[in-house]
Amino acid sequence: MSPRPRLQLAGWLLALLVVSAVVGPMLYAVDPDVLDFARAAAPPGTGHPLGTDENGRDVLARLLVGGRVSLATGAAAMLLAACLGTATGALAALSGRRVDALLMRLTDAALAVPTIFIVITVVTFFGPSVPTLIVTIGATSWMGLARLVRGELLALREQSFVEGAIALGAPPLERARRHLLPHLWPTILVNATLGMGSALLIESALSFLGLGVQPPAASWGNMLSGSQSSLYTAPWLAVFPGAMILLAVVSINLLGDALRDTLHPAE
Amino acid sequence: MPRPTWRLSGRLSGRLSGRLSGRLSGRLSGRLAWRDSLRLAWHLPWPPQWNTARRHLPALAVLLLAAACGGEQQDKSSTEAAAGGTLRIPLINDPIFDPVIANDLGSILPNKLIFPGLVRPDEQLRPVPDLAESWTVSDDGLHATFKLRAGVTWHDGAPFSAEDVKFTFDQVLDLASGSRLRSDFAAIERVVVNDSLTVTFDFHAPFAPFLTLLGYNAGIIPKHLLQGAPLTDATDFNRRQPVGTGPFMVTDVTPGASVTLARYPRYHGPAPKLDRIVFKVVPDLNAQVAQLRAGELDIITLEPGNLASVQGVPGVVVLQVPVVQHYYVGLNVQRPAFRSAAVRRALGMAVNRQAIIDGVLRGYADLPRGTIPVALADYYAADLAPTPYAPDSTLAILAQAGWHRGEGGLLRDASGAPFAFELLLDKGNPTREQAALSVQQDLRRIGITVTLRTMEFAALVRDRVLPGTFDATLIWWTTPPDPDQYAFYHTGQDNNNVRWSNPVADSLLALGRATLDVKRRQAIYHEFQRIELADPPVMVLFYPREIQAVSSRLVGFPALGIRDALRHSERFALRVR
Amino acid sequence: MAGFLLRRLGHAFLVMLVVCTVTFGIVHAAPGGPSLLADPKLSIAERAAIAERLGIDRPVPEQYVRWLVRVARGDLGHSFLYETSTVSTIMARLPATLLLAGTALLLTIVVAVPVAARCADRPGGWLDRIASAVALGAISVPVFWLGILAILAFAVHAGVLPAGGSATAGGDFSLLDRLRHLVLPAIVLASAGTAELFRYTRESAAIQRTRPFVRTARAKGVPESAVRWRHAMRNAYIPVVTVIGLQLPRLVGGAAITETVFSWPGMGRLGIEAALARDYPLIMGITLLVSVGVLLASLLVDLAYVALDPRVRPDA
Repeated sequence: MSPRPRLQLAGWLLALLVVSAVVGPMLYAVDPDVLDFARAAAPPGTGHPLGTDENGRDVLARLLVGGRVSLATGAAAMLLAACLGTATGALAALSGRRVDALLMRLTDAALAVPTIFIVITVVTFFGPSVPTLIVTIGATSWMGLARLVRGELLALREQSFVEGAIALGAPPLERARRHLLPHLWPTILVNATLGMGSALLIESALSFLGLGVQPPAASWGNMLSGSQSSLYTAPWLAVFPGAMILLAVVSINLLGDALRDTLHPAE
Repeated sequence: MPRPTWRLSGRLSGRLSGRLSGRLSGRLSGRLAWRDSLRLAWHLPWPPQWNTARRHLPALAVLLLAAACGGEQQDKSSTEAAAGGTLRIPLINDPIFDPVIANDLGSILPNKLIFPGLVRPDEQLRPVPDLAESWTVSDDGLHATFKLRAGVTWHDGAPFSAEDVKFTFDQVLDLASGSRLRSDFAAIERVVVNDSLTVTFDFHAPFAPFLTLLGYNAGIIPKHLLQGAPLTDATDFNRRQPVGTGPFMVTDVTPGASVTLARYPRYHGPAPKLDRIVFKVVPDLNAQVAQLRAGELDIITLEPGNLASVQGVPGVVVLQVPVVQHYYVGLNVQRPAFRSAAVRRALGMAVNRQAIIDGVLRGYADLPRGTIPVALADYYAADLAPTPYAPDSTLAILAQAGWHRGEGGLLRDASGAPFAFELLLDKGNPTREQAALSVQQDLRRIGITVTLRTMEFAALVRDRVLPGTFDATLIWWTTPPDPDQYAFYHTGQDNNNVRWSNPVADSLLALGRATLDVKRRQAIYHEFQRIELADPPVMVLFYPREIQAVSSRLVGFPALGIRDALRHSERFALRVR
Repeated sequence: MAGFLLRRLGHAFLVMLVVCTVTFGIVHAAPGGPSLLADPKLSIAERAAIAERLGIDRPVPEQYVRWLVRVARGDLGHSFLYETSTVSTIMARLPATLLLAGTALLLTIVVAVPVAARCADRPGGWLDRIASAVALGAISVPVFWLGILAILAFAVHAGVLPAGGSATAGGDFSLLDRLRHLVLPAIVLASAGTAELFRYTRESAAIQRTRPFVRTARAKGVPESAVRWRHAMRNAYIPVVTVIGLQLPRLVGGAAITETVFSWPGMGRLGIEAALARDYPLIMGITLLVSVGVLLASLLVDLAYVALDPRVRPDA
């Protein structure tokens, strides 16, 4: 597919997911936390459109609310990573050699440690709450963008319009905002989009280890992880959250790919 | 003092987190945590009372869920158990082969087979001879003399003697040895070797739980191999090649993967039928289930939430045995709202325990009376009525205590302050989370607002429960099969976390641990339970059972918790398919 | 070249110092302490004695300096959890992880590169479409979920492959047995990396193939396979090598999850266990070891650039 239809397809899919997460719980007003053991693990249909989980909670309601939690966690972590990455890259490129060297060593260090491992360590230590998850996932996902931004800024600095701005005496911050940032948008946008997909996957991996969003709150990750004990008797409990994660990450990745092909950011 | 253990975990159990963790020991805790987070179940509860199984056969004993199990399991025609074969059991962590310093779950199971104790629990969980042939206790209860079995050899061929027993208990009592059994045996003053096969224990004071504890985790270790160096050092002995006197000896250890035990040919007792027992390290409960179903494991223990994944599976039988645990909501008596016994009693009547047992525990638990579980059949006061579920009648009781329903149906005191408190629990265990949610829903119905707060188990214990800075906490105790609860409910004890204090109960608890006569002890603990009904120290929610999923090839497995069952390894065998 | 190596090693050393300081800081700043101290049965005196024995009663900066001094002497301390030396605990688990991660990396390269090269021949062809779709799925699915489904399908239902472990427990050594245990975890661990490498390689090869020198070669009548491998792919290898370098830390992280799903006796599972039990020395030891490995690998990647691209000069 060429970029434009792909962009549209991915955009529509993602919009659908976001809208259902935001509006869904209001339209489908079933309490996602009510336990009803008499109707545990009921199959789809039977009064619950997507059935109930092993505790008799409505799967559709949890899927909608869980989507909120998962997408919000992913988006917030992605925002944080984008800010950190852009700031680090820009600071490194625009400050002196010493700062540059220091920040790049820091980036190398962060890249040298396996991300998920550090996330596990931090989340275990500080306890798995949504804010902890956002901060740790965000704080371990900025390095790639930092390198890209730094590289691009170093290249841009050589270009004449920037030199012109410097010659005109524009203050550094103003310079960065007016002349440099616009050129970085494609890189940041593409990188952040793909980063949100991996944030969703990290949340689900942490849920598998019992370190994701904590029950009774729902997230796609903990619903998927929680379905393991019913895998043999109620496979649909695994299918729905699994499909949502897959759908979300696929459409995010599609969007990222299409954006890249459309915007042509520097590699 | 008996050593209670907390079982952490499990959420999983534990998967990762060890949940495990018990408060058994630090090491344990860590492990538990692992389990917890992994959502493993609490796997290996402490010994159940076999007695109970006998007395309450219809309700409790070994329920072979025949109907659910496809009828394969008790196919008598092909029950011919072949001698030989390899039994495969999961562990959640690598073991340390030394019963004195290691009390984590992963170590306890293999150590049961390698290091027998002086006595072992029989099916009534009463001590019967093992390494000791016979014993006598002096009338004043201050001396116990054991005659040891002759002809017992260590796995390296050296003879077993009274010196080994003395060495073991000297290490157990030594503060610096790293002993995890010290609090169990603190009543021992000294151990005296009379001759090579006779040994006497002298006590500071009569100590009724002693024989039970001897058969619990107190395996005997070899003096000739271990003296002179700290037990806690990592050595070949405690990591790869332990030497015990048990029916099985270690032949291979692959870290993180497995421990292989083979029959010890010169074992002094009846030879086991199995050739080998392999412990596989599989921390994840769902992975254990998959391996059981794939025929790679023969027996696992489960959480109620995992039952569905093994029920109705051809070749798998589900069993349950009562265990010596009580799960409870501890209400901090130092908080003004909980000071009144009437209020604590009323809260107990507002919680529908039967609904929790049926819903959350899938029926795999018993309705509680006091803190002494039904598994301790000799001491459990079966004739006392359990606290009724009567939410409507609680309002009158609470009104007398000054709580009246106000706006929005909320209970408020004279100054208008609402009845609200925070209930703490550890993270990651679905069973406990659901039980807490049920308590919250039930209390909301009578106008009490409960805020749930989950914490990492270690932080919960260290930062809130031990210092007493909590309103309420959902937690549990696992104890040896003895009714002694001095450490938990006597005034001023470190583990009396709710700070309950009842002078009559204090004297009963003190008397009970010093009384050797079973009849008199029964009367004492029945009286204690009567007091608990009027002045509940904690709101006991249920007594859980250990759920075992077992390959139908396994025959002769005693109806005991898996830990105690392994002390009877000569009884079970694998059927040929 | 020697200067380049020295400089890179110097950088690596600095990076290690940052990694250690930050990890040590995070681990020790976290609330609570080792789970060893969470035993409710411990008295205050016993608690203090344990803290003293473990050395965690001292100020964090002092602990850190002591730790650094010991590390300089090659001593990583004792694991709280296992009460054995951290080095031997890790070494006991390392071979299993190397085997798993090495197999996965090999699978990644031998699958992703040839398939990508072929797909780049005919962008938009059926192979390209299928491979691209599969790759998109593979980078979008949670790894643990893939593993559980694989166990369900191949071990529990079909019964053709084992459900867990790296060998039949208690069995004698058998190569076939080892391979059978390796198949599922290696494929599951390799899946995301393979997909990612495929995507980059395909992209990179497709770009190279439109370049003038490739067109020239083709115009000169160079056979298509030679165009593909000698001209186009040779240049495509450079980003490919970068991607492989970037995948190493993720491979170790992914191994932690995969090892847990498949009960694989490796270091990743050990790391999770250490983090959960707050086993400071073990966490630090594993972090140190993995970081050294990753830094060495990235040094190798840089050297590979030099070998692959004559325009990259080490002194630049």
